[in-house]
Amino acid sequence: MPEPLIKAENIKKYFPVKKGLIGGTEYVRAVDDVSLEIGEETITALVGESGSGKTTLGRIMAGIWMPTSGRVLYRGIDIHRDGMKREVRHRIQMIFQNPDSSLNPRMKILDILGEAITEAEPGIKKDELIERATKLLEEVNLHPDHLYKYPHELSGGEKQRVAIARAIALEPEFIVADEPVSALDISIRAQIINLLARIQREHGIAILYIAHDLRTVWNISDYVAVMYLGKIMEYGPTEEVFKNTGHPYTATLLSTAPLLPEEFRKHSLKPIGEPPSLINPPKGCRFHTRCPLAREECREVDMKLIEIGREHYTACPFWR
Amino acid sequence: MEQRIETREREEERSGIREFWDRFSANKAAVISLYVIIGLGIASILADYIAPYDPYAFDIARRLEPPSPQHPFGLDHLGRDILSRIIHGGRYSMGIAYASVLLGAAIGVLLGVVSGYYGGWVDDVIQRFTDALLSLPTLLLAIALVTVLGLGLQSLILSIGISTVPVYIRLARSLALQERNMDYVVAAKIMGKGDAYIMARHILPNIVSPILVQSTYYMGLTILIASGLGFLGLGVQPPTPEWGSMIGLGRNYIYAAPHVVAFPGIFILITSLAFNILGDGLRDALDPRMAKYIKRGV
Repeated sequence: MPEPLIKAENIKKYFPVKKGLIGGTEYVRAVDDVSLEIGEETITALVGESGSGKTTLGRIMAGIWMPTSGRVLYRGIDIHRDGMKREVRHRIQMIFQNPDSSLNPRMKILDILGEAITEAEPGIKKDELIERATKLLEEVNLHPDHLYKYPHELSGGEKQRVAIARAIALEPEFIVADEPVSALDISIRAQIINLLARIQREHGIAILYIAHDLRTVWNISDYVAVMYLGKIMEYGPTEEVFKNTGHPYTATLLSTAPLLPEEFRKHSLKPIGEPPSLINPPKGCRFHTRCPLAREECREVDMKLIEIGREHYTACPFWR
Repeated sequence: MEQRIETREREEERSGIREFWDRFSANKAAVISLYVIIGLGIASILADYIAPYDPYAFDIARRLEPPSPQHPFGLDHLGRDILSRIIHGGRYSMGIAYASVLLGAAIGVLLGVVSGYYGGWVDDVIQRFTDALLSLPTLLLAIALVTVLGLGLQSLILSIGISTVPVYIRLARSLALQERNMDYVVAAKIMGKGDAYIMARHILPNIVSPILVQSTYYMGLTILIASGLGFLGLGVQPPTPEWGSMIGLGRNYIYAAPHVVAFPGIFILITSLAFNILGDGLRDALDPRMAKYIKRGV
């Protein structure tokens, strides 16, 4: 991989949870010592069940949340320390899961896009702004008529297109897309995913694609990181991870994923029980309580990522 | 092109208002209340032309005269025409209410939004301040403030306005707390927008409806407070007509001449009730779910 565009180093995010009046404070370890690199113009998928910490990691890498420890470097600049400068700020954007809450219901589409456009070009004239907004809508295949509508007059897919248009208005180099299609109708998911992929190619944007739908991950992402209980279990090029799976957790995800080509569902592993609490995550390998292949050592040894192929890492030394 | 877009824009705005009006007008009581409030407002503004007599002209010889065709509401203890005094008094009673609601809402919403948006120590400071204000009932707080600020129209408005501030702080804070986590607020932050911009552009417009409803309810309450202060002699000073002080001055004659107290009382009741019913109507037409945040004005 070339020099990464954005690099998360040893990110930890603990959310304090008060336990009664005198119970003291416990911590939800949403993200627990995770490092991730994203190369320029690549799509990296971050997959895992809900509660795995993927959204938290995404928000930290977008600069919205402060990590408890660790840092995120964008071209060598720590975005949480000196990265709030506008130039850097504009280079990182985000697309949200629910387009209903990501577009202000009181603003017309023109004003929603206008916010981003004036942020890029303060003092832009009104007719130029309309022109730019029209171009943005064209890029996401929306008719310019939509400029004068309110979000509630648009369908879910159209709203998500507007959200994508807003994200690219500032010409970012990195976009965090947090489950951008999971709130949408199945019938239009593919369109939005294809749009995202096209925008990514045309603008040369790096995307962190947070998802739990492995089908779309297979379709568009270059790399995959699999998260479980705040830790990365496996990381590698998408094809490697899907074809030469290196972790039993990934295998359980693949075997239970609907709509995936048959060849990837060869593993017949099913996870045992429910995910444990993030407040007291299991010692040793995080997955051992649910792993159908768990051994005695898995309870004790803290698993580190080991390289098992070109750019392919896994946290399980026993699988394969 | 430009022209066409503009007309459509206007049509859409109109259709939004129409939709609201359709829902609002289904509530007959609220519509009647609205007309009552508009009617009282017009009567107050045009008091000089509508009032049959000079509200200050007295005729001691005819004091406490009961209602008659010439004086439908009768005469007060100085022989002044009560109807004329009620019409002129509406200026003060409602004018004070409008001004103090505006003042209380402006201060309260500003503090509440700042409190909810920033959280942390800013929130703590503002909330402890609010607790202190809330420790006294609204009327008592208003009395305390008038005592401190002194008599007079300005200090009256200021006192009543400030006494309603805590409710607006609580309301605006809880609404802002929800808004600040909305993705469009996060999106604006990522873009690099400043806090003041986000509060003005994203948070305020999305919380105006509940605040409008709260203000309508509180119009009813502030009319009662203003009258209460007037009754106690802490409000508008005689001989200026004001509904509360009219009752206060007439209370000695309540057995001999009940009309002196009854008519201003009826007007206070009707106006306060009308604002509360209008508040219900607005709430239901705008969004019935907001009921859990809002405190009624009575």
